[in-house]
Amino acid sequence: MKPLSIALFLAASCAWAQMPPASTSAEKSETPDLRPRIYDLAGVLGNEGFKFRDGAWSGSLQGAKPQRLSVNLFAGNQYWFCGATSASGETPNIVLRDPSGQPAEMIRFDKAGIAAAGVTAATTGRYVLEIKGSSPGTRDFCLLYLFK
Amino acid sequence: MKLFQPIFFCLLLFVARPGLAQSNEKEGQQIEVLTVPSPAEFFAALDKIGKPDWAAFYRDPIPTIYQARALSAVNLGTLVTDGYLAVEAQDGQQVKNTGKDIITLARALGVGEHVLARGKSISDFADRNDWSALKEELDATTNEVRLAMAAQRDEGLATMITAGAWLRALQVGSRAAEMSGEAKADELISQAYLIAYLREDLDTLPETARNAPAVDHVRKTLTRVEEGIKTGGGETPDSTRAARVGKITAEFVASAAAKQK
Repeated sequence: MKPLSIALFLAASCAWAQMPPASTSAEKSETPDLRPRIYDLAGVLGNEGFKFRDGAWSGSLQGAKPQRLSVNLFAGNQYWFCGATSASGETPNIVLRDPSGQPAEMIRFDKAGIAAAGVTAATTGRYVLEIKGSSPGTRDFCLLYLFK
Repeated sequence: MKLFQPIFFCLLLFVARPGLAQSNEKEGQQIEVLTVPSPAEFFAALDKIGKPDWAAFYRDPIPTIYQARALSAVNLGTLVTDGYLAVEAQDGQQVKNTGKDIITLARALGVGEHVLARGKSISDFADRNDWSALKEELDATTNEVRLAMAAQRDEGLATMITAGAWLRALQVGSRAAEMSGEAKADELISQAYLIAYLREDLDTLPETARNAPAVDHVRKTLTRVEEGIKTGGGETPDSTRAARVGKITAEFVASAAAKQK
């Protein structure tokens, strides 16, 4: 996956993407528009040949309790998972567990309020994706992923 | 970002789709099913193993008129996979032909004009040999047809489209895996979880819809594919997974597309 080049590319591209800062008011944090932030990042990956998988997922996080998503991945494909939460300054943690339940080794890119994690699937099958944060209370999150 | 603009609004629509994620419990943890992967993702993985001659998997044009809406839906799904196949083969004319048939079947299912307009986009991208945009456009078209089915409270038809797409994808993938002879390719056919998910989705339909001949045919085929993936189903236990799944799916795809009398 060329981890260093991808990470550098993402870092440079995020500056280019001019992501909006995390919400600064309580009112905004109630109704954040998270999608443009992760679409900006995902768009950068798209320029690297990654394709959106067919949707995004959004919901709410409560405290440090993770949300878990089941995903089918194909051996040999490269994947990037991009997520953001509405909590000011919170960077979500993205973990992928392989079909045997072990955490997969991932390339990570974090910036305040947004995170991306990349992996090349070693086996075909059902993986479980976890997204969690460190902030207290309930806040929104949005996640999408791409493949190549 | 401009690469994504044609599909951006479609993605936003899809994000809003109710019921995208369905939950189930496993080991005391709440796990959400995010979404079903597209055949393009499957083909991308196959392409890394052996660069198949994708054009070798074309089939003859199929009828675009069916009496049962469920049969139209499942055949629309198989055509979507044919579209991805033509994109992999970088065959613009085949993409246009398939796109036209997709739109014809979508029209038969009563989708809105805004979806039908995608037929022109497919044709335009094919003329420009823009394979990347074509994959996105096929995704977008499929998703919009599925959304239209959901809006018509025909979620069962949306699942039939997905099932048709995957049964055709497994037919093509199985043949490609057999031809490559690679164990890794055979492993890619192992989609028991996905197939079970689709079958269970159809199992939850109201009894009348569930027992409609076309739906029943798909449910039984999905069950056979699950068995073929896991054990060989006792039919030809010594054959490869790809051979077993290929046989079952080829029978289904041919039968579903057969001209009605």
